[in-house]
Amino acid sequence: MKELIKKAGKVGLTLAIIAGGSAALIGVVNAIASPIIAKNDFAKTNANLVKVFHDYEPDKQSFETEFELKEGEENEYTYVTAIWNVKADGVDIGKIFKTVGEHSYGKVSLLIGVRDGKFFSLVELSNTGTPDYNKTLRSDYIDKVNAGTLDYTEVKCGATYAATLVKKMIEEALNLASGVSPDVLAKQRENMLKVFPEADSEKATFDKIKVTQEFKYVSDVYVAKNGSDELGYIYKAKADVIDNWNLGEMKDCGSMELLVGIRDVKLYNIVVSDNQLSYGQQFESGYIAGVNDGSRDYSDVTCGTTVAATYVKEIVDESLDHAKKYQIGNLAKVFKDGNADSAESIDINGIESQYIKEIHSVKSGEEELGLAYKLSGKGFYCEYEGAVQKPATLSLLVGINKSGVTGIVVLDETFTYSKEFQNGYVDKVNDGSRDYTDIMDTGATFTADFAKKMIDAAIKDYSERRA
Amino acid sequence: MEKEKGALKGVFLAGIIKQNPLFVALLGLCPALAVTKSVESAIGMGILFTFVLCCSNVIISLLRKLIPDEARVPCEIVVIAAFVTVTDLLSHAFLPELYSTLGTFIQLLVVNCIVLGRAEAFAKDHPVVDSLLDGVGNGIGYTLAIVIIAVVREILGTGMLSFGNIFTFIPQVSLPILKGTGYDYSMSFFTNPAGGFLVLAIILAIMACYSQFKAKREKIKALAKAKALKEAK
Repeated sequence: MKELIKKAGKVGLTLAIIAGGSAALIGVVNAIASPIIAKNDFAKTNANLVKVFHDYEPDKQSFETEFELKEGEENEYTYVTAIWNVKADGVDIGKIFKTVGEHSYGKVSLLIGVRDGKFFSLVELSNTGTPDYNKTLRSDYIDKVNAGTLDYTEVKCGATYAATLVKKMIEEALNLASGVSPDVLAKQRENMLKVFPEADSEKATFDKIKVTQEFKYVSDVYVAKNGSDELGYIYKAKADVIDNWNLGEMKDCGSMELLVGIRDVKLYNIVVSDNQLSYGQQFESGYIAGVNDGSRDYSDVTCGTTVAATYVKEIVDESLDHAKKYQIGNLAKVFKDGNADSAESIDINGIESQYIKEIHSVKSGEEELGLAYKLSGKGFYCEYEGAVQKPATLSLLVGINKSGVTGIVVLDETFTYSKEFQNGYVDKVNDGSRDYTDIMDTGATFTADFAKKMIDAAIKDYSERRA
Repeated sequence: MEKEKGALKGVFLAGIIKQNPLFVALLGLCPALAVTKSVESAIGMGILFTFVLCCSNVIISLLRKLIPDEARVPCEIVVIAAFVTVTDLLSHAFLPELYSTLGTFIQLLVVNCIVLGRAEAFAKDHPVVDSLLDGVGNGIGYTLAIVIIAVVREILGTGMLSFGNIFTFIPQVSLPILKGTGYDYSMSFFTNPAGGFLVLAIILAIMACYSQFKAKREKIKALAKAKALKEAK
């Protein structure tokens, strides 16, 4: 027994001495290497940081770390892992956000520059996606966005998955730059889900769209989608209410923030996201509740909180006006030869085709330019030399008049060879060099074949309606 | 003295040719295929591997009489792991490009069977100088083997040999061999792991052919010698 204890002690002591010696050696080397590693990392990061605000000399820029996520830590941001405040000659020139994210085919890491609350430029740090798509993302999205020839919201570039991720990263950076915290964003999403209650809380997306129109109340416009199905548009608006409540003098009665849901150019729902009105409860339970349950028309403002309701009416009018112009603008893309100025939805109840989701009669004055069909469906494709069929979705806007197909716009698609489909089929049908029925040698035969099937259904419907 | 010198030479040369860890013992195949896409990364891996092997051999040889048999393997693992960590830190600090190219394969040296194999098969029973020479010999042997594979793979896979991308202290040079202006005979297949396996298989086949040829030739020589002796009698 004594012998055994002695032996165990010797083994334990030997192991302890060797482990201690090893730890000491590692400790010494670590003390020498760590500062050099940190210096190298800083130099590497710095080399990329100076590229973001390229309008300033690299040696004049200095970077102050506002936040940096350490390895193994978690934070409340989805993509942002570091923030730097950038100065040139001591003057603030913007902020840089380091973002890391993942899409279906790989990981992307970027540096995003924001100046005066607006996107400035981005630098790609790494991209582990499919090599060909990485090149497309660089040449057809990042380079163009940096050159200012493409808005970052225009993600249909041939590498849509990666570009969509980049767009989301930019939006998070812009939100953080403008002081919008993740909690506020979560609350905003919750309210947006209330605008379209039928939306799937997991699948629903609310993407900001680029708006050139000047608004009085509206600050942002979002397109709400349930997966690939469009639910409608949400107009975020704010109004400071000046009222003579209780017949007193005109005074500031507080502010309200609204989310106005518009579908098919009609008011769908109103959600009060912030209510600071002194008579807020009465306003919400009376006017807003009445509009939402359909018992009151939004333009009927005589309700006991008339002044606040009048502000809401103005906001809804502003939203509807934009929605109408936006819809006509989109529909006009498939009738390039005419000057579309109005559109009217056509009832599709009882329609046979599963692909037809919306029909609009597009007019220029009194003359009908044609019918615009919103087509959407689920198909299959096989990858190059692959035998397995994979599911995919395609959504198109197609203009049809008596001369045939006037134009095609791809709204959404998850087939492969997106670029080839756009260049080899859609662009050629649009410029008249290819008939929509000619699907061979397009470079994306599966997608073109599926598009043809959907357009056939639309043409059949058109000929029945306008026979 | 002369005999001792000869024995040391034998220890040193064995790891390079006769008992080459990769081509003869077929050990350390995993990193050999992973880091042989370019000659520079193969040289880098070879240097780091040799450093770890020499240091661990020396320390294990030094402690061979102090370590009890029951704790031998754990002690060897601790020593190897310590030197791999040191190598990892030093390469991260002083050769950052090599560090990012080799990635996790530096840390995986801990479980490289050649390192533990040499400690168990040689260093634990031999003096320090012999163990050091064994480490240097096996290190050079392994480095030569992976560099040969890398030369073939880089030329066939990229059509050229490039230097200065990982060892940034040397000027960047590209030697066009199968790829240049107006021609490109490179086959990217060889940059894939399957290409690495194929190259290794071809080299092993050539070596097997050569050793069979050599054995046959020696057999013929021996037979001829025996015949000549018989005739002389």
